[in-house]
Amino acid sequence: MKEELLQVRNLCTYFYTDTGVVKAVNDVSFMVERGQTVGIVGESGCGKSVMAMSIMRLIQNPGKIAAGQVLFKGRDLAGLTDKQIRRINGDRISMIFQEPMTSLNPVFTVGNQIAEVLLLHRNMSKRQARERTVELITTVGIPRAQGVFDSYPHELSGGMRQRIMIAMALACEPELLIADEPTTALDVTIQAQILELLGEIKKQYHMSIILITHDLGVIAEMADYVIVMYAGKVVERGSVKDVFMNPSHPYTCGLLKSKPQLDMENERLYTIPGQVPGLIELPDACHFYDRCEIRSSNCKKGFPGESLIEGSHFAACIKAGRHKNE
Amino acid sequence: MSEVLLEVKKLKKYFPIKDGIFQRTRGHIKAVEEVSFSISRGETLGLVGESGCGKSTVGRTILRLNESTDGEVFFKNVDIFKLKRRQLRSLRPKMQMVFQDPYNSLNPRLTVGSLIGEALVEHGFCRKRELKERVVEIMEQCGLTANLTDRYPHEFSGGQRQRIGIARALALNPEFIVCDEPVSALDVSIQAQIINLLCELQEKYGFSYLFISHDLSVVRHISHKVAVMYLGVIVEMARKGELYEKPLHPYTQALLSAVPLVDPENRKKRIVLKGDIPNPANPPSGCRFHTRCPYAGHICSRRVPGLRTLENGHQVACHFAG
Repeated sequence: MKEELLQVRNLCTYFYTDTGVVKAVNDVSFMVERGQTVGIVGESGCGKSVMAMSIMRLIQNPGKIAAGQVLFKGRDLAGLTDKQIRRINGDRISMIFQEPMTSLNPVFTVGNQIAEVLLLHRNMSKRQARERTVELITTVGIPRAQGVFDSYPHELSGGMRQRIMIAMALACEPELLIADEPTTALDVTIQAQILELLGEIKKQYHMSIILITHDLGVIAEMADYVIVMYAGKVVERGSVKDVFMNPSHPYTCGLLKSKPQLDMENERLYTIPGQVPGLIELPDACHFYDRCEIRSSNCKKGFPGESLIEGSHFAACIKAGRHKNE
Repeated sequence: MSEVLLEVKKLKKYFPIKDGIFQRTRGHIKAVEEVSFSISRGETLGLVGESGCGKSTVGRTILRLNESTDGEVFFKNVDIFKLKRRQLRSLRPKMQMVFQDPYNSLNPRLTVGSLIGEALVEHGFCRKRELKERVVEIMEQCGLTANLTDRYPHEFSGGQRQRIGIARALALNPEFIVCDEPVSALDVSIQAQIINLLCELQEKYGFSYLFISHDLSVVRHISHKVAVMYLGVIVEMARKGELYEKPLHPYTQALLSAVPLVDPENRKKRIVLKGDIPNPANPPSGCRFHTRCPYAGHICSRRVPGLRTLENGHQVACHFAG
């Protein structure tokens, strides 16, 4: 049953700017199994989107994948030529973005934009592509698919546009779907619709999803496995249950405690003091040191390696799992 | 708690849709339709709804940042909409606003000190000599240090900018603050800091807030009373505990069930509403929610349900609720 689909090994994506090297993704490793939903969570600037872009090889100057491997079905994507990567992107791996308005081309009808994928990857005739596109539009829950085929992005609402993006991503029945904040720009009721849809198509096509979001609630509902990122590093990873029930990195604990809950009432919210550090010239120490409540002098001696909590649950903290009893 | 500070009665706001070379009015966007509520001193009313439901328009119209189409707003028993410019101006310091986007609501060419001090001088609250002292005092209350007075907004992070926004509102000793999505643009850990700050300030000075947000969990945390808006009307209003424990309107129920919980062991069954919010230029007849309501009956498309008061002051606008 367990089949490795994607393996990211020690991935480093750096941006070489005038002010210094920004280590947006710094030595990140994880794995996605077939049919699994992996959630990547973190605050803005933690490198979660850059990670997605790196997998898709969409990093542009001055950014570069400086080291590491992205193995997709055993093949290293980081080493492929541009031509080779274009055959995989949109076919085996596809991506949906946060802002469906800016990621659709305003001067083409949405139908043509979906059909383009099929014409490019599947060598379909125009008529076949149109038929398949109408089918896809229906699959993502849009009524009157024929009519919507010929409409332009501005004629559709935010939720509809996101559905179109999903239809486009699904066109070639990819094995891996990367969803970068797919519901952040949407209202809660529309978000519920889109999440429901993602769950359905995942089952239907038996694909894996990498779900990137800052919303812990979305992760808790959707993901099987969670990766928590902070300042370009993975600070904790494990199955959803492990991470949410037994958070072991002080950052994860803080995040969970500082989110106001719908089903709970408490007088004061917990806050993590300070703010996310800049990513230029981070010291060789735990990046969370300045904001950590349980820090000690040992935390300054290099970035802590991942320590095993149990099973597949890891945390990059020298005190991982221990502080809660103190 | 009992003294009513702000009372809104049947507030209406229509925006004209203009078209053609003569800019003739072709219709109206009915952004706010007969909204009534009141806020007591020291109380927070949370106003929730999805984008386009008119919640921000309510906030702006109350402060007369938009002119209203109809209705009355009493602030300390004075009808704000009847005030002349000058009278309004003298009332302004009492009613302030914190905006959503701290990136666009601060003038990039002014230093933090002058951003906060501007209003103090303008309204004659303070002499030039004392200005600096007062500004520093306000900044410290908002968690900003004194050495930041000469910096420009671009040098700050989102959370700090929102603190500047709050400091600006705080400077004039207001009694009522409209917070329009003050934490929506911020990360979770920063969000918590700002929410706590708002709560502390309320405790200290006894402000009343109108807290506008789309995030139900944030609203639950900060509000005493919550009103839910849909397409320009309030569909349900109750004390916080009532509304979250016993939502009566099907829209509120759907809204609450749509919020993902941070609890992977308890993945609940969501009520997923079909379709999108209808066009406010041409809202559905009868109950505005009937096109998406899972329980809609015949009466719903014909008669507009009024806001009925049930036990515990729980108000709901639905033919079938209760």
